[in-house]
Amino acid sequence: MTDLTLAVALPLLAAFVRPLFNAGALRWLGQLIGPVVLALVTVILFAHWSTFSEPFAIALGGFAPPLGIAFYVDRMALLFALAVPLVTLLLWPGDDGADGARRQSLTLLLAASLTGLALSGDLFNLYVFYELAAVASYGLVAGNGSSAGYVAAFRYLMISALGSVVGLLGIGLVYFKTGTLNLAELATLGNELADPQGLAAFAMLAIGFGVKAEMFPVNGWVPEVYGAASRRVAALLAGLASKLAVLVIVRILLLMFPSDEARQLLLVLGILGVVSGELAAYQARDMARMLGWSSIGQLGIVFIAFSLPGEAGLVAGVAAALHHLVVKSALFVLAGPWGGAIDRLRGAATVSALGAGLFVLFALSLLGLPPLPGFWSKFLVIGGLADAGTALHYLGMAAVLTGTVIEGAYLLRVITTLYAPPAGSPAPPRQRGSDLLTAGLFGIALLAAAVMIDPLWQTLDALAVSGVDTAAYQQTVLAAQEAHP
Amino acid sequence: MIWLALVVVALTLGAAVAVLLLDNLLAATAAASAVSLGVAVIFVLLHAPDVAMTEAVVGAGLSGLILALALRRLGLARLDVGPGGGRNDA
Amino acid sequence: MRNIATLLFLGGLAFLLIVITGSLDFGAPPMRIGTQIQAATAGDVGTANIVTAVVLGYRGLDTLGELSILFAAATAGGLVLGSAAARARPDGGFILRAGADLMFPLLLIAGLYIVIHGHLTPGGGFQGGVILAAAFFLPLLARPGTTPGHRWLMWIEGLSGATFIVIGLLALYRGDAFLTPLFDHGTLGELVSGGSLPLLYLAVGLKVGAELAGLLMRLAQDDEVTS
Repeated sequence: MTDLTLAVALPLLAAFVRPLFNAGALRWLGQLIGPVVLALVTVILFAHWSTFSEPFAIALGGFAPPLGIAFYVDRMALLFALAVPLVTLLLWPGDDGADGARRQSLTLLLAASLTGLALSGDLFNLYVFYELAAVASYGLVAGNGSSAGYVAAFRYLMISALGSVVGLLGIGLVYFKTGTLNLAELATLGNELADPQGLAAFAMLAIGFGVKAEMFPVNGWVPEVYGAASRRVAALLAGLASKLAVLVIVRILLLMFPSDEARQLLLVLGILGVVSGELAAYQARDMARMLGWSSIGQLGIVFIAFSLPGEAGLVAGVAAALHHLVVKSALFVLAGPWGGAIDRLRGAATVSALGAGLFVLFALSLLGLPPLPGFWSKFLVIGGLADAGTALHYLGMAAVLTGTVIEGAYLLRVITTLYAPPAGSPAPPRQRGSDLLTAGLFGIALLAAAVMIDPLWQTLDALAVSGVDTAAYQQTVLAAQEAHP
Repeated sequence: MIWLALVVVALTLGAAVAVLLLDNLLAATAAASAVSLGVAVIFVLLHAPDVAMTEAVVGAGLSGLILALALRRLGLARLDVGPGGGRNDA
Repeated sequence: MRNIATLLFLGGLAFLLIVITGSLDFGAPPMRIGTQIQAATAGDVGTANIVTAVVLGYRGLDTLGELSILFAAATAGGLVLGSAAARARPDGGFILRAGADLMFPLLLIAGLYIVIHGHLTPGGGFQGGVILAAAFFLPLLARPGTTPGHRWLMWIEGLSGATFIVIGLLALYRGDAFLTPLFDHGTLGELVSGGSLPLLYLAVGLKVGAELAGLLMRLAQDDEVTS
C-alpha cells in the first residue's frame, strides 16, 4: 500500500518543478505534469478509501506523535482529501504562456495544502497548510490580470491576513495554556481549555480559519473576489477550499472544545451567516455576486449542522458540505459567460439549452426539491435541529426555512429570466464546450447521489460514527510509533 | 542588563511611533526596519538567537528592502519632502 | 465612518488581548512538548542546535509548508509584476558600486556560513538564504545594466525545492515515514553530523536565496510606473 503522505508531497514537488518546463523541448512535460500528478493522487486516495478498514495515524519524520507531526486518517479525512484532487482536476486551469505555468503551480500548491488540511492532526501544521492555501489563492485571484482582480485580491489579502493574525493568537493561547499542539494530546486535556480563556481561544481559531470558510463576521471579501476572479478559481475557492476550512473548524470543535458554549457560538455564527447571506443574495443584481452571497448562506447552514451534537450533526454537516461542494462549483462554472447583470440573460435558454437545463437542475437541488440530494441534506439539518430542541435551535430552524424561501425567490427569478423570450440584440452569451462538460460531470455526480441515496446514507453514518469517536483518535495517534502501515 | 533592555525597548517604541508620524514614506520604511532591529536585540537579550537572526534578516533587511522597492515602483520614494507635501493621500 | 469602525475594531482587539494576557500566568507555562524535545534531541536527531532539530526534524513538514508558502508568494508576485524587460536606469554611483564590490564577498561568505552551520549554531537555511539573496541583489542595484540570470535562478530554485522533497521521499522508499532523517547522526557538534538535516538546510538556503533574489530583481527592474 502506498503511503498517504504522497498525496501532499507529490503535488508540492510538481508545483516546484512546473516552472522549469515552460519552454523548449520539454514543454509537453510541463503541460502534463499537473494533471498526471493529480490523477495519481486521486488513484492513491481512492485505493485507500476502497480498502479502508479502521483509522490509522502516520508519524511524519518517524517522530512519535506528541513530539512530531501526525496525520490522522479516518473516513471523514479520506473523503474530503479525495474530493481535493478530483475537483481540482475538473477545474484545472488551461495554459497560456508564462502566466499559465504560474497559475498551474499555484493550483497545485492549493491542492497540496487542501489535502494537508484534511489529513493533518497538528494545530500548527494545519495553520501552515491554511496559510499556503491562502497565499496560493491570492495569487490565483490576482492572476486574472484585471484591475478589479487586483483590488479584490488586495482586500482579500487584508481580511485574510487579519484573520490569520487572530488565528495565530488563538494557537499561541492554546500552546501557552497546554504546552502542546498535537490535536490528539489536546483532546486528552479537554478540561484545561474548558474555561473563558479556552472559549476565547476557540473564538479566535474559528475566526482565523473562518475567513476561508466564509464564516459570518469575516466574509466581506466573498462577493467581490468571486465577482472578479475567473469562474474556475471562484468555483475552486467556493466549492472546495471553503469545505476544507470547515473541516478544520469541525475537528477543532470536536477534539479540543467539547463544551456547549463553543457549539452555541458556532450555531449563532451560522444563523447570522444564513440570514445575512441570503438577504444580500436577494438584493444582488450580478450573477457571480449573487452566487457568492448565496454561498455564504449555504455555509451558514453547514455551520448550523455541525453545531448539532453527536453523530446526527456530523452526518447532516458532511451531507450539506458535500452537496454544496458539487452544486456551487458547478454553478460557478456555468456562470462563466453569464457574469454581469442577470437581466442580460433573457432568453439564454434558447441559445444554450443544456447550460440552462443544468442550471435549473443545480438550482432545484440547492433549494431542496425532494428526489435531489439537496432535499436530504436540508432534511437532516432540520430534523437534527428539531431533535435538539432548545430555543436557539428553533431559531436556527426558522433561519434555515426563511433562507430557503429567500433562496427560492432569487433562484426562480434567474430561471424565469433564462427561459423568458429573448429581448433581441445583443444575443445572450453561451457557455464554452469545456465548461458544459465540467458542469455536466458535476450534474452526473449529483444525479448518481440522488439514485444511490441509500448506500450513501450508510457510508455517511459509518463516517460519522468514527468521526465523533475522539477516544479512538487519541489512542490511534498517540500510539503511532516509528513503525507505520 | 535590565537597563540595556529598557534602553532598547524605549528606542524600539520611539521608532514605532516615528513610523506613524513621519510624512516621508521612505523614512517611515527605515523607521520600521529600526523597529525590527530593536526587536531583534530584545530577542538576543531573551536568549533566542535563532529568532533574533530571523527578525534581523527578514524584518530589518528584507521587508524594508521590499517596501522601499515597492515605493520606488509606485513613484512615492522621494527623499526631499516639503512641509505638508510628502504623503499622497489621494 | 470607516475610521471609526477601524478604531472600534482595534480597540476591541486591544481590550481582548489585555484581558487575556492579564489573566494568564506568565513565567510558568506547561512545557509538555518542550522539555521532552530538549531531552530527546541529542539522541533522536543528533544536532547541536535544538531549534534546527525542531525545524527540520520534529516539524519538517511545517518547514516544507513554509518553503511552499514562500514559493507561492514569489509565484503570485511574478504573476502580478509580470516579466517586463529591463529598462535603462541611472547608474548607482561610485559609493554604491564600491560598497557593493566590498560587501559582495562578505555577504556571500556570511550567508553560506549560516546555511552550512545551521545544525550547529543559530541560524540556518532561511536566514542564510535571505543573506545570499541580498548578496546577489546588491550588484544589480549598483550596476543596473548587468543582465540578471533569471533562468539560472529559476533552475536553482526548482531543483533545490525538489531536492528537499526527494530527500523526504527517499526515506519513504526505504520504508520509513516521509521526511525521516537519513544517514547516521555522527558526533554531536561536528560539521558532518545530524544525518541528512544539513543537506535539507542547504536545499532550503539555495531555494530561499534564489527565490528572493529573483523577486527583488523583478521588483527593481521595471519600476517607476507612474512618476
